[in-house]
Amino acid sequence: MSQEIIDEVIASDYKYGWSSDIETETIKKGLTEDTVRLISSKKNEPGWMLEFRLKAFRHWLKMTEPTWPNVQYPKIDFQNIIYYAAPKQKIELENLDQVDPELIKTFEKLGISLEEQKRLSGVRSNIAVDAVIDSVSVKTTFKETLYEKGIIFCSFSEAVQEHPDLIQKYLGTVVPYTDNFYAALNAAVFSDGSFCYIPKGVRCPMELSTYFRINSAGTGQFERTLLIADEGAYVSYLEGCTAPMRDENQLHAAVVELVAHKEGEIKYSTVQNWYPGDKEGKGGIYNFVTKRGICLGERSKISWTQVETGSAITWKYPSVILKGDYSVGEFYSVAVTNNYQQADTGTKMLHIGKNTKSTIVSKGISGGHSNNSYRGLVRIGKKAENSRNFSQCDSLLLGDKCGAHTFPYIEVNNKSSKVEHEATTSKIGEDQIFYCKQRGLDNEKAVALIVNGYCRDVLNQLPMEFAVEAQKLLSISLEGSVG
Amino acid sequence: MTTTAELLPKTTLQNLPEFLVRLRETSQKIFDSKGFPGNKSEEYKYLSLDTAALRLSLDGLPKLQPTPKNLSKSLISFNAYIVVVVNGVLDIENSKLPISESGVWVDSLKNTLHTKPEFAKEIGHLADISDGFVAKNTAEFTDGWVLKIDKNVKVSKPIYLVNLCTGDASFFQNTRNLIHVGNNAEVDIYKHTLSLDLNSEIFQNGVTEVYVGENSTATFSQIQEGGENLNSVNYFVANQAANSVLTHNIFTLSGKVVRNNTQLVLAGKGAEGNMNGVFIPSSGETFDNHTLADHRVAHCNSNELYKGVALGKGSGVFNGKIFVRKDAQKTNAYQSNKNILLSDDANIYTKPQLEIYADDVKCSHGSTTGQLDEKAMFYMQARGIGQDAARKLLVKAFSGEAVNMVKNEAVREFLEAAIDRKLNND
Repeated sequence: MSQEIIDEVIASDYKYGWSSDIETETIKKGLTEDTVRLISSKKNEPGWMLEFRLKAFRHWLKMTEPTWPNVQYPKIDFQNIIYYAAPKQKIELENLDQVDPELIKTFEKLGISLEEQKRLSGVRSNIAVDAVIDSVSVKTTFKETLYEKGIIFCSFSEAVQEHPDLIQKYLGTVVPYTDNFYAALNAAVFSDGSFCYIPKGVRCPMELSTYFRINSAGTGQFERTLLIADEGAYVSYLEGCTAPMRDENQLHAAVVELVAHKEGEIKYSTVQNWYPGDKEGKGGIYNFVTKRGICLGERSKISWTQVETGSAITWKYPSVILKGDYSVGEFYSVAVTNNYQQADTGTKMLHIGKNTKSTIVSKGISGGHSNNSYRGLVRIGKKAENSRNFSQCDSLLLGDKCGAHTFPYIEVNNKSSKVEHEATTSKIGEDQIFYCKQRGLDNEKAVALIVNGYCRDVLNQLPMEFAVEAQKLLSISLEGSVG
Repeated sequence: MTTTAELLPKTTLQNLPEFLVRLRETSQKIFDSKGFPGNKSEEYKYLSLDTAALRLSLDGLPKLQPTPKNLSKSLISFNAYIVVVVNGVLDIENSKLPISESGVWVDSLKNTLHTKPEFAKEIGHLADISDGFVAKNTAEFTDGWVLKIDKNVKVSKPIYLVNLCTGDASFFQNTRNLIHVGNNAEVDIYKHTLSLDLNSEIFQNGVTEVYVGENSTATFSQIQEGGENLNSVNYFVANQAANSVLTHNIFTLSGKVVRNNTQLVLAGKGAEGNMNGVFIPSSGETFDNHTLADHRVAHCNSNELYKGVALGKGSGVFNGKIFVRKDAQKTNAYQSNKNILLSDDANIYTKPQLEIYADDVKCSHGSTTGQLDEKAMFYMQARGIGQDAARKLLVKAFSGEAVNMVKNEAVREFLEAAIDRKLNND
């Protein structure tokens, strides 16, 4: 076929591989109870927060690392990680002039110009950004504009100080610290993240967004995001992630919790582009993330959309617990692996309420020596009458040394529900290429067209502003083959 | 009911080839360290085995029972060679075996070790002893049957294996079977597991290893009607040489816990492997099907069709894996699993898997779980067909897709009637 294109795809470079020269404050490597206390005191946290962390830490000590995913990596030395790194900037920032110019440069390189955001305020379809570097939120834009509507959008640490009632009410309710090894670790040492609360009946007027950036060497990033849509509220949220090129593996173990009350709707989109390691598979981020949402009330809806192009290892399952009757869960995913990347990703749809619906569309693309697995669970509880699920998991193979795998679990416990699952694995058909070429497209454009069409179901789900970015990302990962 | 059955002392098999003696020792070690897989094990996640059944006496087998007089009533009547196996032991008197000149050869494993030591060397190369049940079987099998089809022989009649469980004794039985189909041969085999006057609980742990030669065509259809006292683990593994076609059908209609492990290894270019099944668990029954299509070389095809109908408090499991190895280019592999739940207390667990390491392949699987089509039910009821009859008709059509994969008409009719009976009792 278009071997050159595939070679080019496989040879493409990571464009976000620089590191910024920002003064950073880090703590000593290693993890003990003192580390947890130190992080908590650095953040000036109230007693209940420290208590939560310590409980999680003590529980974590009792746990062992899970080994069931279809990924291989050397054992992580948890004592060889810096658990806290923060850009050295203590004073509250009133305007952007006070921001470290290096930091501004960083964001400009990332394509999120904070200044431009500021200037454009008031213009329709803006994006409010919370930027997190090395697990500390450095700048949240549009906070005031949002606050007028009653929307709270701030860093997690700020929320702990200013909205302790909300944090105490929701923290750990969707992903308890006992959930899994990495969720427990995160609960013990998380340093920051984003918090968002949309009050009753409010439709968030702009896209909210968090940018995560790992900058310092030897650090792990452990952030925590908590999103609550109260009754009838709506929010669309996007996270993006990048990291510098380093030849060591860095750990990213985040937790995201979503809560949708009656008729609330959350749309959560991720464009994940952590450094994937070099062509020999050296370096790169281990992306071990727990993401889960709960549709608490009737007719609530949670939708996950993810475009996964980065990370040496991606291991995550954004899930939805469909508790409220008539609630809806969706999962749309494009996962691209190249070189020696490994991805084991998918979702869990747990149907508990009556008449609940879920849709899963997963598209995997593997090239080089990579391995790409879809792993998912659809469980229809006994009381989830008339529930409905549709899953489609397709894999596209771009080389003869890569692997594509599907591990769906389907459990149905009543007679009125319907579950459908289908999966296909193939390479780009010669006949499809031939068809395109016959109509005057060259090889490259043909592959671009086919891959684009292949991912379309998922890309269509992204908010307008990010669909463009996601396509750009895809074209970086599959350089030369996507137009 | 008197439990007069006396267990024969555990027989030690003589004349085992040296490698098999060593394999038995290794298997014993594996079993001693791992034991039977529990539901913590990924492969046996949904199988709730009765631990009491696993502790059934391992001291030996019951004395050969007289074949019940009413046996023929329970059998499928068609023109076939009949091989009767009672409690795991070949009952030659009641069998109608082919004459040895015909190129078809049937005997007990025990005899084969004496009479055809060369042939016995084929035992133990295919079954995976990392599975607890296979380890147990390999370490302790006491007997079994052996079937050999010479090359270029097209067997004129189907071979009908009757696997009868009967008697008053409780025991755990490890049988080891071997099928060898020579090159350019053709055979149609039926295995019918049933119980008659079975008054105590027994556990059958059977391993069947199959070699299918080049350009051969073989079908192996299994009907599982064990009744409430029979626990079965059926492990079937076949190695397919170039251009061979093997079709494995399995119909699980009754039994306490039935686990079917079916593995087709496509080891020669151009081989085709087909796996079809119907499982209808009702209250007190768990039927668990695990299949594997292992594509080892290029240019092979595999197809799979499994249909589940769960009644009462029954529990059905389907776990199918398509495994395409690195060099198995130009593979076509298809899998379809459809299930119907007819009761709110029934469950279905499915896990269709694809594990693919080659790029020039076409693989797909589809799985659905739902209920009977309301519109179809309404259509029939509007035309005067009662709800119950309409339901049966739809289930018949649903399972019929897999039943029709069976070659022999008499067997197909038997299956249709048996499925109907099962729905009547629900």
